Amino acid sequence: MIGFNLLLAFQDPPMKTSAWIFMLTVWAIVLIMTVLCFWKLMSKEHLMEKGLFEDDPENESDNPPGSA
Amino acid sequence: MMAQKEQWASRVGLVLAMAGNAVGLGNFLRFPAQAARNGGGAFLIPYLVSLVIMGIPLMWVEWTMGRYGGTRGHHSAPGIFQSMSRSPFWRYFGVLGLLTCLGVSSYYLYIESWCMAYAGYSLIGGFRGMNDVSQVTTFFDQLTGTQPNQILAISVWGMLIFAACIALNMFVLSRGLAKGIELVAKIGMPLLIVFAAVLAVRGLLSDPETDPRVQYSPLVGLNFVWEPKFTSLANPAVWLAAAGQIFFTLSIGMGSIHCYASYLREKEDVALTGATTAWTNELCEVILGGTILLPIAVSYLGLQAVQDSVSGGSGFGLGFMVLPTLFNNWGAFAPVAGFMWFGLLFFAAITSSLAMGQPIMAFLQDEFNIPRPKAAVLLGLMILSLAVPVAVFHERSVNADLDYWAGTFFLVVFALGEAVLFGWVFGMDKGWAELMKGAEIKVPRIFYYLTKYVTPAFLAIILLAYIFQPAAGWDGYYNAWSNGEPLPAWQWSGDGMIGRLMHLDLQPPAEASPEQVRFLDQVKLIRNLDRLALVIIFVLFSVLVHRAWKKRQPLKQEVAA
Repeated sequence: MIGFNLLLAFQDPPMKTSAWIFMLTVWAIVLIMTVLCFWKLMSKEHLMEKGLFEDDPENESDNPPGSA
Repeated sequence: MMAQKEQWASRVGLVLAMAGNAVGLGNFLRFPAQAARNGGGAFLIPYLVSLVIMGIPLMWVEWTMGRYGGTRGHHSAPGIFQSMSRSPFWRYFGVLGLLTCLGVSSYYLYIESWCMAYAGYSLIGGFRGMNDVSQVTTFFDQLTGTQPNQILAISVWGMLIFAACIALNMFVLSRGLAKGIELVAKIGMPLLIVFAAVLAVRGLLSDPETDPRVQYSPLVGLNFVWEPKFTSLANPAVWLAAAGQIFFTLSIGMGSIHCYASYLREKEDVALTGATTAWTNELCEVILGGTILLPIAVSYLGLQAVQDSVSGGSGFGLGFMVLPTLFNNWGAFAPVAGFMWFGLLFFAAITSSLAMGQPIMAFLQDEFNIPRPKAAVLLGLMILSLAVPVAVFHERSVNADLDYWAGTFFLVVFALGEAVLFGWVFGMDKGWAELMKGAEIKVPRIFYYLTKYVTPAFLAIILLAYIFQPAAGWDGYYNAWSNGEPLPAWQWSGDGMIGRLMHLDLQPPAEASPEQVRFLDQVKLIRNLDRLALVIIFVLFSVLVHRAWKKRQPLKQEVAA
């Protein structure tokens, strides 16, 4: 049905070609940026390299409580 | 003071909690309404430009400030700001972050309770047979106890649901970051995205060829949102609206991002994580938020009717009053669709309201060593002090006033202040180095200059536009100027800061009845009391900050000795 609607859209356009191009471009930018960010964020290498969310005693000793 | 040992359990949890903070009702209601009101596709270009030159830089500023303050034992705006400057002014300026969180959450939780009620009512088929908007409006009035020209709006079951909603939020907050906020985000955000995707696809399946109730292709609605009209780009009012939407959608200027980021460790990345949050929010807003409300509404009501119903720019009427009637066209799926729509709004709201509660909890815990469960009870009581007036008075009084001052004006003031603090007081070089500490992406150098010069200038323009708002609107002046016509005479708008102070939005029409005039006078009185309450809360928080720092002095001297 969506395919049919899309087909109709190009024959008797309730949605103009410029709107399609603009929408798909923006969607592509947003999707690509979101996926890239998540991909990078979740990359196993990064998680392993950083050893994130494990205790980091050095960090705590660097920053005594209330040292502002 | 005691440093918080709490940490996020996982990066996904952190990003989902941050994205949940950013993704709110505005993504699904305000964004499509603003797009429709400001020329559809024309709006999207300044919107994206504003995202890059203001939204993302401010996001990074808040993440960086939060982590910086957090590693120094502060998890709320007063302490975080103070850690970046020696001047005591900044810790009192940071009080604005606590005030906005408290003010916004008191009415935001009320709307959240409406979403809860609507979702439940949809699921039991309560909206079945309600094909007229007036029937849903009656349901809403019963839920809130609203009566025409009556200042008191009391509904017992509406208040019970509100109380349940506040209790749920306090319970989640009392469980802490990992077991409370993060868990809710991990459940709520994926559900929100699934619900939104299902509704968007179902909406696009509506076909006027096969269903006589569908008047137009839903693509007409999409066309309206996405057709680029480049002539509107010269209109400053469109730019202002777009910048405002970017500002509000990212939940900037409240202190909530600072608070969440403050639970990161010193060398943990903020650049990539901040960018991920911003783009996840955009996914929910531009792709999902832009594909539900308008296409569905346009397909059944037509473009003109939809444009009329979003003229206020909030999308609330369309989302809460009109959509439940339109779902009835979807047959057996209608109750599920209603549940999904209000369910996704509920998840969007609760992940944001938790983010508003956490900074105040953190303030009480950091500065006064109050244990988390006790801090949650105290926060609940603080919220109740504002929530009760929100619930018992007509929505045009406390609710609307808090939405303007705490939910709009103070946010811009706070964001401008923090941009100045970061770029000019703390110093952009130090700030940039702090942002790049542990960064997992290379932030382009242009953001250094954007953050230092463009973002504060942009915010200052938005602030000035909110203060000095003409009744004819800036687009009225622009249109007159571009057509070579004489400019309209200056009159303050009731939507601007000065107009609000003068209650210009409450002027009775010429044909107003005595009851209406009396009602508007009562609304003015309640709004004045509400503003007085905001001032008192600001002073009380400032006193608490003063006491907390006074207690810190001997401690610092001990450390120095």
